[in-house]
Amino acid sequence: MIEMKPGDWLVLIFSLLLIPLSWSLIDHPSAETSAIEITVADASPTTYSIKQQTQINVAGELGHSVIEIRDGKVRFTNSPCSGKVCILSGWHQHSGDHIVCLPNRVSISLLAEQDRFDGINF
Amino acid sequence: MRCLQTSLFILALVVLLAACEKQNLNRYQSFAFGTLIEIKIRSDDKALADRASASLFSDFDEMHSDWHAWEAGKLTQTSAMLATGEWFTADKAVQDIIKLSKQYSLRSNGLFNPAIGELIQAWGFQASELPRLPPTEAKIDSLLADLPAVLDIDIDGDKMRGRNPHLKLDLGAIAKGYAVSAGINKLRDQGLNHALINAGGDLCGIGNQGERPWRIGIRNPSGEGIMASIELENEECVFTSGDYERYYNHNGKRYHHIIDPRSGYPADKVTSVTVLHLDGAIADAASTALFIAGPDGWQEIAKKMGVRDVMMVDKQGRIIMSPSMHKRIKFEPAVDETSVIITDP
Repeated sequence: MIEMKPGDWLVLIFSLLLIPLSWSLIDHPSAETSAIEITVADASPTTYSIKQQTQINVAGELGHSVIEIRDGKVRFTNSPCSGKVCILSGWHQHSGDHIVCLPNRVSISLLAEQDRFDGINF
Repeated sequence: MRCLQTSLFILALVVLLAACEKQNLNRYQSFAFGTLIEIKIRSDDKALADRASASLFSDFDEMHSDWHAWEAGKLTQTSAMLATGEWFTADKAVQDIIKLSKQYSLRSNGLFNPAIGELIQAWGFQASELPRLPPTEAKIDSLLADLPAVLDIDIDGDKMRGRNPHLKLDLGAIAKGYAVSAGINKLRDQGLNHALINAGGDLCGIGNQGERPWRIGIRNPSGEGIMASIELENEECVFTSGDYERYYNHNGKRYHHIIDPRSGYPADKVTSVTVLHLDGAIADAASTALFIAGPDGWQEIAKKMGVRDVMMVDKQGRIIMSPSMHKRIKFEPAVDETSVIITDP
C-alpha cells in the first residue's frame, strides 16, 4: 500500500478539479439540426440556416421545386415531378436525413454541428 | 520533488489526451444508381478520400447502367438472350450477380425472384415516372400462368441459358446492396477503414464515426420522424424494404412496388422490414423476401437466408422483431414499446 503524503493529496484534488474544467473548455458541437444543404444535380450545394421561416425556389432539371423551412423543419411543397414522392414524405428535421426529388435531381441534406444520426434508413 | 513529478505526469497526460483528436470526416454526395448516394469517409488523407469517393461514384454509375432493368444495356441484352433458350456467353458484368441471385432465390423459397421483370413492368414500376393504373386481373393471371424464376437459368461456367421465354431480369431487390458492399470492400482495400455509404436510405458501414459507432436512425414507416436507431458494428449493413418507397393510389388503394410472385399483386401483410447483415446483397434481398413472407412466414426464410436481425412493422403498426434485433435497437421515446412483439427467427 502506497502511503499518501499531503502533497500527493493536493495533486490528486488538483487533478480531479481539472476534469470538469477541461470538459467545459472543450467545444461541444450541437446535435440539433442547424442547416440544410440544397443540391441540384452534381452542382455544389447551397447552405441555408434551418432557424428561419422561408420558401426557396430551386430550378431543377424538370422545373422549379419549392422548399419550405419552418420551425426547424424542412419539406418540399411543390415539385414538377409526377410522383410527388418528395412532397409526400412530409416534414423532416433530423440531421443526417435527406429528402430527394430524383426526377428533378434536387436533394436536401439536413446538417448539424454534430449529427445525431450519421444516416437515416428507410 | 515527487509532487512535482506527479504533477508533470498528469499535465503531460492531459496534453496527450487533448491531442487525441479524431480524424476528419469527409462527406461526398452524388446522384448515382438512380438515387442519392452519400459517402462519408473518416480519414486525414483528404486526397485519398476524394479519389476513392470519385472512383466509387463512377463504379455505381457503371453498375447502374449495366444492371438497368429496362434501359438498353448489359442486363437487357442478357434478358433477351435468356428468352431465346439458347446457350450464350454471359457478360462478366452480370455473371456474378445472377449467380448470387440464384442462391438467394433458392434460400428464400422463391420470394426473392429477380426474374419477374414482365410482372413488375405490368405494374408500371419499370419506368422513371410512377404509373396511374394497376394492370387488369386478366393480365396478371396470364403472367402468373407461366411465371419465370431465376432458377430457370442454367449456368455452366461463363455460359447461360434460360428455360422460360418470359425471363426478364430485374435486379432492383439486390443491386443496391451488392453495389454498396462492393464499395465498402473497395474503400477497405485502399486503407480507408472508417466509412459509411448511404444509397437512398440503405446503408453499409465500416469502422466507426470516431467517438462512437456509426449511428443510423430508422424512419417511421407510417409517417414522419424517426422510430428507432441502431449503432452499426465494425462492418454491417442496414436495409429496409417499405410500401412507402414507390407507390401510387388508385380508387383509394395503395399499390406499391414490392410484388409477391405467388399472387402477382403487391405484398400486403406488412409496411416495412428492416434487416441487419454484414453483407449488403443479402440484407437487400432478404428485406424484400421477408416483406413478401409477412409476419407468419418470415422466420423460416430468415433462417434459410442466414439472417438473424429482423424488424418488421405490420399493417396495424405493431413491431415484430427477432430477439437479437431487439438487443440492438434503441426506440425513440414516442414509440410504445409495449406493442413490440419479440419472436425467435
